[in-house]
Amino acid sequence: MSTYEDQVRDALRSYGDAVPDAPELWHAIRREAAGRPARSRTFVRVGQLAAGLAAAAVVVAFVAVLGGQSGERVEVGSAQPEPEPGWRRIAEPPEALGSARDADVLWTGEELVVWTGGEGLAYDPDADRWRRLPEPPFGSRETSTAVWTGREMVVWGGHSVDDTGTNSGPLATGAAYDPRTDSWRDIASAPFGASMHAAVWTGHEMFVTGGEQQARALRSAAYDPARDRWRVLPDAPIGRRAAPVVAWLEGGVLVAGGVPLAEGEATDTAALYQLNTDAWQPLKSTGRDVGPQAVTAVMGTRLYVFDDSRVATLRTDGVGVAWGTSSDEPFGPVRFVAGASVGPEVLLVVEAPDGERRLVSYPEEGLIRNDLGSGPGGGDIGDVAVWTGEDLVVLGGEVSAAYRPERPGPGGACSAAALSAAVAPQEGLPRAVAETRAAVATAAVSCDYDRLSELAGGEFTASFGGGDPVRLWRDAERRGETPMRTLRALLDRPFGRDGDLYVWPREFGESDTYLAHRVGIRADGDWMFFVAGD
Amino acid sequence: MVVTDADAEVARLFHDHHGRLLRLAQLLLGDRASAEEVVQEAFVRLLRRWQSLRDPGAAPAWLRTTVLNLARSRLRRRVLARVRKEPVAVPPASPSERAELSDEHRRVVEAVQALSGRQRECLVLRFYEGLSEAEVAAALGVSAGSVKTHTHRGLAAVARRLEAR
Repeated sequence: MSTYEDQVRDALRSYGDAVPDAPELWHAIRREAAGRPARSRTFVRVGQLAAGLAAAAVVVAFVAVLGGQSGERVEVGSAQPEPEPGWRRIAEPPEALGSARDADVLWTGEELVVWTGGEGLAYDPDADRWRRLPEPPFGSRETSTAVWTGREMVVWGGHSVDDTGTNSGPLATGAAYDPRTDSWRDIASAPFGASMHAAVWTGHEMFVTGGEQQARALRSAAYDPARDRWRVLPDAPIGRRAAPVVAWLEGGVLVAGGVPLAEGEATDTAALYQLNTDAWQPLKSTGRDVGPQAVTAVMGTRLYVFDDSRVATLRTDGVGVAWGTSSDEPFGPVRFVAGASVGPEVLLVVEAPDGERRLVSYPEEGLIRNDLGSGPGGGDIGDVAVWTGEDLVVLGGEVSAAYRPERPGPGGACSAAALSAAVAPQEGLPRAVAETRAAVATAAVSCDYDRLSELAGGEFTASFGGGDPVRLWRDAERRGETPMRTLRALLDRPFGRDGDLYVWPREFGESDTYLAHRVGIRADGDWMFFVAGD
Repeated sequence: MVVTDADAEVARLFHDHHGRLLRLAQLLLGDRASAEEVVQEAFVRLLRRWQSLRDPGAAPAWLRTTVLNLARSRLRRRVLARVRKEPVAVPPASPSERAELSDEHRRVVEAVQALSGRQRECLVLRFYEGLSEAEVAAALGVSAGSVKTHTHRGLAAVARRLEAR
């Protein structure tokens, strides 16, 4: 072995001798040390209003940016005219987002929040303006996750890195940011820590799984923000992995793919965690790796996976789950960069071999490429796409941009617009129940909230937290969620009975622990609930 | 920009040590741009915390540990990026670098850079930096026994790779 020691020593020294010094680095070091205080970056210009909005007055104001240094100068747009369909540039964030794909980007219903691990920015599309979030109650961390609960952004896990770059190991702590009060609160510590894990919001809990943990199994847990309480879930029937793909598919969380944590560990497996039974269901092997590079989009009970110029679908019918047909992607040799489901289609940012990025639509019902252009001009669009209910906002590129689709007639971008208004008759339903079922289905496919409000009587329940059902549904649709699609799809499922209630799906009546969405209509035809959770 | 005592002290450290740290980072990371970024970041952090440094004499060791940690962190991110199939910017060695390395040395360096993180760090610190096992252990925050094991396994892996050609 000593021969190899000598060889290694000689080779490394030869290599090292060929590396020249870099005295010019000193200037960059001084500039950076002087210009970027440790946790509070100095102001960088916010600006570049949409090219199509040149007529809009631009105001330069000194505003107190919450969480930043007061007096930070931020350029804001005045009241904006309603954007036309198509592309437009939006205000650039106050600092480069770099590879925005490493950041969590969430739509709250009013703002788009970009969380980079230690700092947060929020973009208000109505005002075309960015603001900083206040500092979180913890230091900067890497590979944490952030989910939007409908009320707060919950940041959890990851690891911190100190001044010497030392990694803290997986963290069990986190915090929640409430945009209404512009403040953070600590959340309860989880039973274990994780880093490079994955998280998804299930409707009333944050589900976390995988990543680097002190465990050999794929461990998962769920956090209930209303009770500030964690529960440990059963170990999954598939192996541990980092950064798996997770998706909430009406009643269950799909976990697939990911990155091996040790050599030889398989990640081409998938499983579904079913909320109503608190149990895992192993799925057939995906047959190939589904890594974090894949672009995923959920439409109702179907998960689309865009990866390697191929498209795979995974659907659940509430009982079983199976991979659908994988098909060669018809778009040609492109790399999928980002995507979001928008009503009955997925909008995808794809990159051609020559590096040009374009937006294409992928209609649910067919492999048809609709080219929506390469952006508003001025540079390549980025690698993070978020649907705000009206626009697809694309960040992280040379330009920040928004694409507003054409409104396809009545119903607009209603998530159920592609579904049939007519319901197939179901045997055993009283006439009053059948009529209400048909009326709800018709209203759902056009997001006719006024009609739905009429059909929902005084005792109607849409959320156990209370609140106006119409506002709840409209806000969810604006956030890109699909309550109307869920409602309409549920009414096609077999129904069950619970006293004088007729409920969809049947599984709700068969299990005391069913927590997913269900619809209930009383025998007299009164619509009683469309709700999830407990 | 006002020159402070910290500037002067860290400038001296930069003058004396940045070349060695740059070579260490490049051996660990395999490309010049990443090595420069890591070394730059280490000195920026040193400048910012200079006033709180209790023992300025420990700064060279602190810099080496920071470069090691930052390089490790960058390699982890690179692994994730590779899985994501994002373009990984690892420029090839420059023509002048290639010209100065014999084929044999290049094969050895490639074999070292193909090792797992800890094995690569042990070999570079032992045989390039010339540290003792105890010094490598202190720099990496592991036991001397662990250094011995990683070094032995690393050398064995290099040997296997060279003999396989």
